[in-house]
Amino acid sequence: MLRIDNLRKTFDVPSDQRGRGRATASAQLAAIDDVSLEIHEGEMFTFLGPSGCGKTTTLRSIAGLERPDSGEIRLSERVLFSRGRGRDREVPVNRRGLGMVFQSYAIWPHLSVFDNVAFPLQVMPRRDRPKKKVIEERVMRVLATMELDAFAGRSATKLSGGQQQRLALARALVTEPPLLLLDEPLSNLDAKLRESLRFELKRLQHEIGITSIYVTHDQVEALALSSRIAVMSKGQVAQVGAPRDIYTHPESKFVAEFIGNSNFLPATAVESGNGTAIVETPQGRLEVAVDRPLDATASYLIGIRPESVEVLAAETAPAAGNGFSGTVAARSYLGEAVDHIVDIGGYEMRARVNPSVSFPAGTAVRLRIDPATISLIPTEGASR
Amino acid sequence: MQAIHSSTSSTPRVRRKRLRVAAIATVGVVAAALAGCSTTGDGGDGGGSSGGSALSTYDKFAAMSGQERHDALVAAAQEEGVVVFYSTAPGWQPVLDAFSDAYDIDVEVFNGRSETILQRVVQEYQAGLNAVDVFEDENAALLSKEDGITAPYVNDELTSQIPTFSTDNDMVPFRLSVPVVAWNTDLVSDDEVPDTIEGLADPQWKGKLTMDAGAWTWYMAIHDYLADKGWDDDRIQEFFETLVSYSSPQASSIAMTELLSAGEYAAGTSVLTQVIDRTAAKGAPIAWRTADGDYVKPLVVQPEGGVLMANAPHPAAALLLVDFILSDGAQVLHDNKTFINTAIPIEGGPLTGVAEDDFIYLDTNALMDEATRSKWSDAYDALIRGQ
Amino acid sequence: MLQQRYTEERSAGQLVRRVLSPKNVIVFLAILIIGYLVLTPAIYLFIATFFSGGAFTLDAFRRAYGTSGLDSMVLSSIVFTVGATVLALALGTALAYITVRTNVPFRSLIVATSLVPLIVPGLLYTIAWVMVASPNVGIANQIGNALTGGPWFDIFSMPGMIWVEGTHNVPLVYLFMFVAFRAMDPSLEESALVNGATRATMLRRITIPLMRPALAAAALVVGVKTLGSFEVPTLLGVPGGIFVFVSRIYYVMSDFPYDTAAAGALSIGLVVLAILGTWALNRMQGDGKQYATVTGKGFRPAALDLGRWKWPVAIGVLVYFLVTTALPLFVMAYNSLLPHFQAISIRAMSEFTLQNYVDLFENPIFARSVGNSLLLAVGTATAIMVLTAVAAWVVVRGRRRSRKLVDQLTFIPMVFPGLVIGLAVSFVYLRNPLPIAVYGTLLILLIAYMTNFLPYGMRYAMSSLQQISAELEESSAVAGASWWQTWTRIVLPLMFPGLMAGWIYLLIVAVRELGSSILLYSPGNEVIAVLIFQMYEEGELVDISALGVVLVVFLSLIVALVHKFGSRVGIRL
Repeated sequence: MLRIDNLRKTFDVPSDQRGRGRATASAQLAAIDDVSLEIHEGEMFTFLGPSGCGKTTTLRSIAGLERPDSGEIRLSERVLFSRGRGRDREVPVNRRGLGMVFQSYAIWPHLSVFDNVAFPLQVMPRRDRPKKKVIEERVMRVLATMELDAFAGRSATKLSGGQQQRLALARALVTEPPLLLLDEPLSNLDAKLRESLRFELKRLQHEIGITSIYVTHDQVEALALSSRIAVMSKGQVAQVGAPRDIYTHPESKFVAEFIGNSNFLPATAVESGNGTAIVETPQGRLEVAVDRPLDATASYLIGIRPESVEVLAAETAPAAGNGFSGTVAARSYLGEAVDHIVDIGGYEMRARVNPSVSFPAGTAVRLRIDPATISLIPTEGASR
Repeated sequence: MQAIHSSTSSTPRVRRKRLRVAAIATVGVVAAALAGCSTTGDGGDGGGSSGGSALSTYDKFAAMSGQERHDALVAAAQEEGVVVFYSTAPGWQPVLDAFSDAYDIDVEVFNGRSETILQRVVQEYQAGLNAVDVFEDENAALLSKEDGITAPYVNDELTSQIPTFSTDNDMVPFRLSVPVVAWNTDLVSDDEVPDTIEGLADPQWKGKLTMDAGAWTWYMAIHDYLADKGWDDDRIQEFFETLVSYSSPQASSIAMTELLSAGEYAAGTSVLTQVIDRTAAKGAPIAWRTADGDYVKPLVVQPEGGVLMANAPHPAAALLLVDFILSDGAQVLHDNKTFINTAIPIEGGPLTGVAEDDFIYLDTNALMDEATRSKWSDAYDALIRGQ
Repeated sequence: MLQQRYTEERSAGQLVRRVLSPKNVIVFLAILIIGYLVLTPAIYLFIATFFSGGAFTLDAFRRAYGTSGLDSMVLSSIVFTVGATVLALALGTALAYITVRTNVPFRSLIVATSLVPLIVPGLLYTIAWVMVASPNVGIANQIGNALTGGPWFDIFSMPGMIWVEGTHNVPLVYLFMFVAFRAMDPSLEESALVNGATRATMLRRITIPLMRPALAAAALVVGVKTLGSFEVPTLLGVPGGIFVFVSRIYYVMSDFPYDTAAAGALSIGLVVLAILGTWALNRMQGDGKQYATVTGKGFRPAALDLGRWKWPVAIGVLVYFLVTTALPLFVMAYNSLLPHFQAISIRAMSEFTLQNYVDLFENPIFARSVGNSLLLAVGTATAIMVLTAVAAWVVVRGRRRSRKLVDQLTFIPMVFPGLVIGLAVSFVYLRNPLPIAVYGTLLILLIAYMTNFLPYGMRYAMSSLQQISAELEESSAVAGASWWQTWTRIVLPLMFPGLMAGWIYLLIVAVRELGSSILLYSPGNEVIAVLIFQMYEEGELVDISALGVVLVVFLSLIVALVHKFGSRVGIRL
């Protein structure tokens, strides 16, 4: 559907702006550094990463708002952009026929709700432009889908935040584009509205079945919405996969960290069988689930999520089982959970448990970890 | 040449057209502006007579005199049909109107501040544009310093009647600028008016005077007057410093007159007579002569006048206009209560009754010398600024 | 699915079409015209300043700067300029904020009258203040003398100069800030209040910093205007013994033979000062993107409730308008009814007459110059705003190199006094480089006005564009709009209120322009300023006052019409 090959883009930083906040060190580096991706028909594909990782630049390159230095972007059979591979081509932004929802929504304040949505149809090349009547029908239809039909005549600035987001979406969808681009569309909203709109977005995407690319720095949002996620870092794609894959099998410390791991231990394989393996860490041995045998000479990093660590009283729990023994160093109450920092032989492991379980500092505890929840990240010299 | 100024005749038809354009022009303005002045024709073609033919026209009439000259001049001028007059003094309009009426010749006037108008004439001349026939300004004499830009006016019948006429430069005096001591008649009674300028150094005038910050020619003349009286430089300097310490400077004769008649100041040192007289005629409490006709002595007289342009596009009309200004024009100025002091004295004029001895004539030729100009203007500037 | 209807093959024809796209053609034309307008006089001045008889020389600098007492002149210039600019900025910004963002009573009255001082010609505004506060006969001091035995104010002093120049420029600042405040998202302020800031902290930490681009633009325009102003230093400074550096340019010019080179050298000194100023302001301004405050996210401006301060603020604003607007207007109207200039008194009022108005309407030049001025002013304002809308877009959204070029190009004329521009323009068009007649027509005035006022229009266009988020344009392009469609349907409508404010300003200053008009007009092409000048030279202050009254009424009507029309098509907030 959409193919991106070896896309590269560097920004030059004007000398008079260097060190003045906005265009900082990251802009001096490559914004996109050899990004290749393929997005399939009907997918909700997400670019996930911290700010400055290149996700927005990639999205804007697809839209045509940025001009990459080299690489190729192809929508189905149509080359949208190609540079540095034979003949250069570039379809101008207004000829790409894509839909896009901006972070700020970019709703035109001087136009009514109706006119905002009708605009993409009204500016079509004359030979493709629908008749006035047809435009009206299509606009009202898409407004109805977004439950905005009652506001058609209103000034766009008079809408609430959620309504504006739906208006921006309506405008992006009115031409029935092959691809919908969403640039952090939920980031301007408050937490509650964000959650409800997230589900609405997912429902809409499902109903319309439109291929979408979604940019966000919020991993929860990414996991909840996406069919597939590309985690990006420093202009490169760190990992591509389904949300569950990414969550359970991060391929790098960066991905693991970004997706929510906080406990990392270096490890080497001791014993590797079918399905499980025993690894040696400075804090002791641990059993992990694997889908293929481990390389005995390689070193790994294991990532353990705080919520995967079970905390048991040392006296009641047997020392056996997968895990470590330690002492509670600190605890903090979070409402829906309690965080414990447990000292295990010099390493402070974070464990998040149900509020019914709570141990004061100094208590000797046993930490139990399900082998299936441990992610194994190959480090230098290891293949997976 | 006619082309440039042809719209000036401003027939009502032309004017209406321009206004209508103005009314509808909201967009496409460059085009509208062009349309608006398309009636002005294609200026800058320098058509008409060239400089050379103007000089030969002047020569031709210089050789003639009396009625013969006049008749031939009128015929030639009417052939030209128009005359272009640049002036810094706006008071000429009645004279120009009378001229137009008398000879059926249009007069196109450009009014401006002295420096801009001089600059304009020089620029036009250097660019080879034959635009102006007669140039009138207090600095007209200066223009004749520029090589070949002006031509002498030769008509002994009239110039012999002008006391301030000089053949050292091409300027023909038209009028006299006479800066005098003026006072507010509500604040100063006739008894308090001093006999001479020295009287203003009396402490009773402290804080009540105003001076013109640009009147260095007046300063030069009074300086000479006091020196002639035997005062040494220190005494003269002390006198002027006293005057400055008693007064508040103003930028022009106009500002001085307005503030004098409003009562902000009691007296001013160098206000032009025609400005005072005009304001007084409207009922303002300002005067430069007492009920008995007395005035503060001395009166500084600076002749100001016009020059004929060497490249005049309408030389005969130019000559005729100068003739008219000097002769019949003087009466027109008088009848219209412009209070302008004409170069050829006129019966009942503003200076009637002033003793000839009380005049100090400024030497136009000395004023043309750049070193003299900067010496006196710098000295007066320093005096006013208290340095 | 969108069918594949565009070929991406680029034939030679397409390449030509691409190069000659509306965007390229329009931007190129705009920059070409601006470059032509600015560079022809600038090059002339440069040559006149540095070359004498074909040889390079710095002699002009010696003549221009080698004068005694320069240091005290520079000092008083700085005090005057900074003082008047700060005063105008403070008052103009406060007024704009109060009228846009608070629920002060009489808002519409204030909005309607705030522009009036701009319309009053500087000469009349200054004279009005002389009548109000001259030490002996000023009406305020007459009261002072009667009550306390001494004058209260002395208008012939540095504070007097700063007050008159500063208050006369307030409407200019007001126009800039009014647009900027209207475009500001009030939630930015509200969030500061919600976060516990006091109103004062909010203004200091949030509002003022957000307004920096507009403030910087206003400061620049007012500062340079004050630096080059003529009426106040001449009418108030000279009597008070205060001499200002820049009015020296006029003195240098007033002696014959005219020293263009020395005037040019003084102008170059101004250029240096102005470049330093621009550099400092650009540092303040950033590139505009940072401060984009109109985002696509809509907002509803909620008026700030002044609470118990409502009436004190209202009374303060009213008093301000009585003093700076009603009082000079009253003095002007009073003067216009007198047979001759005199101090305000009961006796004078018994002499009231309409003769000045009769004389004015009978003046043959009057009707003609009103027509010419109107045509020129509308033409200048429209042409400049069209040009600068494009130029501002290049500066705010363009590539780095072109943005710097255009920014600096449009700034150059700001540092030349009108008279200098007039001189350069007349020199150029006496040797006409254009295929159409210019010298001796209204076109030469149009060219001079456009050159002279280009920087002002540019500031208006830029500050209005800087407040519009780039995403609004990008979303239009993504929606399929061509550059032309985006430009006409999104950018121009959003810029419209700012462009209109600039248009009104230019209209007014073009009617008032004196410096180049008196040099460039020709018989038959008189403009109102020339009429004012001629009347002043004749000492007809009362007639000028009548003309001033007519002018104020006339321009107020135009402004009111434009305002009405503008609010109908402008942004609905």
